[in-house]
Amino acid sequence: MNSIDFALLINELPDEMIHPSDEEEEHRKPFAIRYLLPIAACLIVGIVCAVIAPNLRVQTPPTKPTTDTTIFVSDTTTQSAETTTVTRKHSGVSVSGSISAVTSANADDQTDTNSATESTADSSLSAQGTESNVTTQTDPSQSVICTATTTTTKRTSSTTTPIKRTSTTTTTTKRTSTTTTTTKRTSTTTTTTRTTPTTTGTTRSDVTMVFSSEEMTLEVTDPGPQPTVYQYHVPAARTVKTETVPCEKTIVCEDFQAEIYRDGFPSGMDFDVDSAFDFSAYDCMLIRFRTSSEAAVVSNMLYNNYKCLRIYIPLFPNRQADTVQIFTMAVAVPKELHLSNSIEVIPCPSVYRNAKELQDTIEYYDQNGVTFTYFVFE
Amino acid sequence: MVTIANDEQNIISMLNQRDEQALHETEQKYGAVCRRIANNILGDERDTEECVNDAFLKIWNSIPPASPDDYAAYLLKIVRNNALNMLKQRTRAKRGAGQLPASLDELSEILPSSKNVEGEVEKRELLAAVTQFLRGLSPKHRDLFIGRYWRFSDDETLAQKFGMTEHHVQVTLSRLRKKLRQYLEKEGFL
Repeated sequence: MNSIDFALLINELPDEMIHPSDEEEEHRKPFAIRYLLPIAACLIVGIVCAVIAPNLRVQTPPTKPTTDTTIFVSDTTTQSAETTTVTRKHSGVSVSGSISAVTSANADDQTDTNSATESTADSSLSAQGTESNVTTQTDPSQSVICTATTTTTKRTSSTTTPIKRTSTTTTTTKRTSTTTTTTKRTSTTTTTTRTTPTTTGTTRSDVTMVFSSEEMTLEVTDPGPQPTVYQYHVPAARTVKTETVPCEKTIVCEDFQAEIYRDGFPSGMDFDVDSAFDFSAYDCMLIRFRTSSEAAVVSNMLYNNYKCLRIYIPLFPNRQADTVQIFTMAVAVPKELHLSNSIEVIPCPSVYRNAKELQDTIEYYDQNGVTFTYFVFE
Repeated sequence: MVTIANDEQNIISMLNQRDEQALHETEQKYGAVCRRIANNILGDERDTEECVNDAFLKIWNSIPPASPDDYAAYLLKIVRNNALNMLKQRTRAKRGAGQLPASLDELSEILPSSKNVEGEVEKRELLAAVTQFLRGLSPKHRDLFIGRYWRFSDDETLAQKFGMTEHHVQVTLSRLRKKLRQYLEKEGFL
């Protein structure tokens, strides 16, 4: 086929393609569109860049103090010592606290347990995380809410438990101290609300241990005004109590290990339930212990008008031997108080057959000066 | 377009009434376009005039009974067909020594082989393929292709019409020919 034949062939193209109505100037853009519009667009862009853009700087909002702190604690199966950073401040401001999480290695059902501790002294209250994002508050009247969330995991070689720590500030004049702990099996939330009154010329030291474990509810209420000087010491009635209350002290001693960390560094001190430790040499310390019990409670107790730190270890021998929990608590002791502090560990009866028996035990402690209002294992 | 359509209908009506004024109207309205196309093909004013007059005569003889929907396209097709046939006769008389329009030379790049387009059916298929190809082009490219290979306009005219440079017109047409060739190859005509 030659070109003429092909040209003749395409002579039969559809009429709409060859209509002469679009013959003249259909596709030619007007001069204004071809040249003036691009020029105008360029001018507009130039004006925007030169005049308007410099005035459109983003106004950065003022930075607010960080109130949310997220702390990640990594645990390993080797039960290695926790690295906890505890800091403090003198000049009437005591800053301490720690958050840690420990996971036992040999447990069938491993449980991550977290504890959060707040410490206040005089007209200050502060909180600090173990790694970063520390929130320090110096308002004389402050309330700090600490929330620690734990998770329960199956046997894994390594776990990382994020703990979100939220601090809020409120102003109050009520002189009360309330500690509320609510836990569940799969998710434990610990909330501590502390109110420090505005007191001038009064030395006051609180050690609040907020401890969370499985299926445990603890509520401790500080009734009111306290003596101006507090000491941590071993109550005189302790021996009596440990003797009168049936306990398996030996088992507790075998399974009980404690390490006291000073300023975040382990000092390797063994813990003995029959001995009392003088905490006056330590600014802040972290006590870490391991027990075969299912749960434990640590709280500051008011005993004969003295602040005592006690660890209750209910034992459940029917549990598998390798069920081990490691609890970590932080004890903040303001150094400037030069306290002669002691820690008391009171093993609880081996088995609570029912809630009433437990309640009886609690009442027994109540009668001997241990002031907690509610304490139930389910 | 409405005016043009009305004018075309009036012309067709006059042709149906055998009114010679229809030819005057056709000459006045489409004479220039017809001569431009014929001249693009033939390149000779006398042949162009003869071609256009012959086209008008065919219009007069064909309408009625024919009643084209698009009178202008119908007229231009006749003009173009006359011009190409005259060119074909002239080329045959000179045994191929005649000077063909540049656009027809360019079409040689996409000419299907004779064995693939022998019968009328194959020609219809080829026409359908070309039509389909043109429908797939953008309106601008389609009009550019029609302007070049249907109306045989030169580069300068196309450049002015489409607001392009002559070089741009050439490049665009080259790409369109290449695409048409690939399309015809795909359809089995090459």
